[in-house]
Amino acid sequence: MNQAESDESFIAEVLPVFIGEANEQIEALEQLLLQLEGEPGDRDLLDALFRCAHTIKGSAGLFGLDEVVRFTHHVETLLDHLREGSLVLTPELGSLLLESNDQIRVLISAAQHEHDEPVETADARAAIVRRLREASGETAESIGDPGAPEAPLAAAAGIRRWHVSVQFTGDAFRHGMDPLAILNYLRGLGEIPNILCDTLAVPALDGFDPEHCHLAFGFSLDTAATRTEIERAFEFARDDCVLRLIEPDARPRDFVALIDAMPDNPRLGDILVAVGAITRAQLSRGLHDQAEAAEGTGKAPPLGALLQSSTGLSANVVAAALKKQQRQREGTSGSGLSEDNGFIRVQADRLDEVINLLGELVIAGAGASLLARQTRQRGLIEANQQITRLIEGIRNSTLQLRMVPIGETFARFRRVVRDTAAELGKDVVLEIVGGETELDKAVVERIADPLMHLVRNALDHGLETPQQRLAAGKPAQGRLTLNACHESGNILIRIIDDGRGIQSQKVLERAWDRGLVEKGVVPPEAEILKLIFEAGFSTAEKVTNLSGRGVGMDVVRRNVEALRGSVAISSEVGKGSCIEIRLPLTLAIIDGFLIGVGPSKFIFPLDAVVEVIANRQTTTALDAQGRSCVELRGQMLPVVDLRMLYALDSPRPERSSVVVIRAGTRRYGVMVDVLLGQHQTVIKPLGLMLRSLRGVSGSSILGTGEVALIFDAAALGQLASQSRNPSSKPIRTAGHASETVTPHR
Amino acid sequence: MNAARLPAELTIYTVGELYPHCLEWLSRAGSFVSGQAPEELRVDAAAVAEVDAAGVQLLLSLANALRPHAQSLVLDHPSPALARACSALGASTLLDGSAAKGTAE
Repeated sequence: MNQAESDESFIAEVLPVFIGEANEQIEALEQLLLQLEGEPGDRDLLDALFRCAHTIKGSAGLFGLDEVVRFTHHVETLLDHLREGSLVLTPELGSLLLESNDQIRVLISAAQHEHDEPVETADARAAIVRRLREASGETAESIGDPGAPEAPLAAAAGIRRWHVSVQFTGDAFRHGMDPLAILNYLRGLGEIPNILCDTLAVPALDGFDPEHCHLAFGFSLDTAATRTEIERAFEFARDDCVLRLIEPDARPRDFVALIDAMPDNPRLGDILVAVGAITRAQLSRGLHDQAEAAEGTGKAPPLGALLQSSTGLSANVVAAALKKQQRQREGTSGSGLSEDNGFIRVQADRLDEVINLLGELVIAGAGASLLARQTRQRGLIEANQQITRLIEGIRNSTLQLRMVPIGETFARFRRVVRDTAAELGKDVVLEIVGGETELDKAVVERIADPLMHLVRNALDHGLETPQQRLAAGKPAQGRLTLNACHESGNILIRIIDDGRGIQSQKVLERAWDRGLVEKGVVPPEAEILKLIFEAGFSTAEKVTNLSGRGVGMDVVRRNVEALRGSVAISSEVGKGSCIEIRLPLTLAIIDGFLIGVGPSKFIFPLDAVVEVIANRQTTTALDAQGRSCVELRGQMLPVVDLRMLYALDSPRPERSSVVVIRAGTRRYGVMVDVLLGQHQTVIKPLGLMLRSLRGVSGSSILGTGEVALIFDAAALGQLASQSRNPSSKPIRTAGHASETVTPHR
Repeated sequence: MNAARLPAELTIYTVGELYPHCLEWLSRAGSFVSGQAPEELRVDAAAVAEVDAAGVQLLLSLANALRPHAQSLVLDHPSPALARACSALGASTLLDGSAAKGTAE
């Protein structure tokens, strides 16, 4: 009973890990299937596919998820046929496998939430099982008779005879292992001229547990495959079998290499037997001799020397085995580390906790170093500087922990594009550029839905059918590109299609209809396209199953802006459209550049700061919105004055500095009173009241307890240039800004 | 004649169900042997479409259980799938005597 209880609690603990891994495998399966459609018959891909399915089945078996095991078994059978080459992957089979993969996903999620599944899904699954069995069943009969030996090509270079003995453990079946499948796989590597099953090891029927595995085999394998390749066949059963591979015609130096490559196995005799340098019988004779000699003299001669004399074993081999043994004795704990330097899994919320604490630490550290500076004690200041540097280091590496490449998210769209394009009768290829670009996990998770919407939108409205494309003189296959790159502290994601583009006239007409723009008013071209992102623009007029789900582009924009990002759109009629999403790399802490205007403090993201022009004479020629130009190395740089832009009322100092900011492809200068230098900025969201504040993306608490607003470089630039446009209203936020900034004086 | 018949699916998923049947076949075979000359247990194996190592293992176990009674297991008309699996697993002895009424081993 106790055992059962502890099993149960163990499972409850480990199940989430399994689910996470299973979902990764499912994702990988899907990607591999899609990749395989491009290059059917690619052996490596097929092997990888099979491994994925097998891993899911195997670990589901461990958790007693019988339904998953049962279903995946059918998928695996089909994959096995594909791998053997007895079936070729047709698009229909590909679709079937993708549907099956969806089913596995449903099953896994059902296991996660432990809810009973509705009858329909069970029925749907049964239908897929039927199709899977049909697909693999038909061919099962058409495979040639394996009993008929093919002409042995032993003459062909590199074919050697291996002796394999394998003993499966009792749980092998329950863990989803099928020795038959493993043997069939090995037959793909080479010939098995003879095989012996230890049939007597199987107990007689009485009291026999048919699900307990008692099988052990000995067989020869003629193959050109390497030891690793042979072992790979047993990869999934590694814990469920004892495998011995023996290569009788190997030379001493091969054995030495094998011994070096062997897994932990601390007994000399076992090492030698396992690589096949000596036989089990020779070993037991050696051990016997050793024991006899010990009885006679009271001192046991070394086994290695005995074996050398009795079996003619090369001294090199013994030396290598002894060395291996030595190493293992020395470093049983150390070697584990070096072999296992892969990955550890950490729960995301634990990481979040660390980052929260880190935020507090950064603020506290800034406070401490400020106090230290006030004391003017050099020792204290230096100590604090050291602490600040360390905090910065911890901050960078901690944030790095949360960074994930966006490629995984992009790759998910392959399936969407494939299915959606097929549904719409379009031919579209998805191109992914910059998938290795990293950004915060939280951002990745929250950007997936908006991206999905944009991708569907492009497929539905942007890209044309092959006929339309040919008629327009374009290649029949449409191209959708997902592109990601870093750009001054932001990540820039572009969704580019080469479809029909957006007709601004139509957009405008609809905007008039919807009352977004007063009838007859024609805003500038660039403004018209932006109307697409306005709430209420999406219409039910053309509800398709795909993009017209009532969720409009305004939702996309809101989601992006909630991440402190921005969306922009450009389009050329007949050529295609491009949607640009800019997002901050992280939501937590950034390197900032602190400046002061009067008593107010502001922060620019350091990545956006190009350079500063310090301490210059304050220019007088400012227009009504506080704009002017300065000359920077022979080029004119537009400059905006924060004091006037945000209507901060404090006396203007005699000298001021200009911070040169890069926003996208443009540069502009911002006139400030004082430069306060680099500052580790813990980003706090703006309160509800301040959400409407334009050009600002967040706030931060300084070491002194003051609050500084964080500028969004792109938005500020836009704000500054917008006021140039006579048709737009004066900056409404100016009043807000002074209200909100002054209280923190 | 024993109405012993193997199902279409002879895998890890069905061996549990099949096991009691095997016991029953065995007990019937046992009663045979008590009065009669050495016999064989014939099992119709024509329907087997899907088979794995667990399925073959059950047949091996049945065959091993018959041996003390000096009996042998004869698979009647083994399906190609079953025949392939037996030979692949080095358990071809199971197929002995299946074509004609032959002797086991």
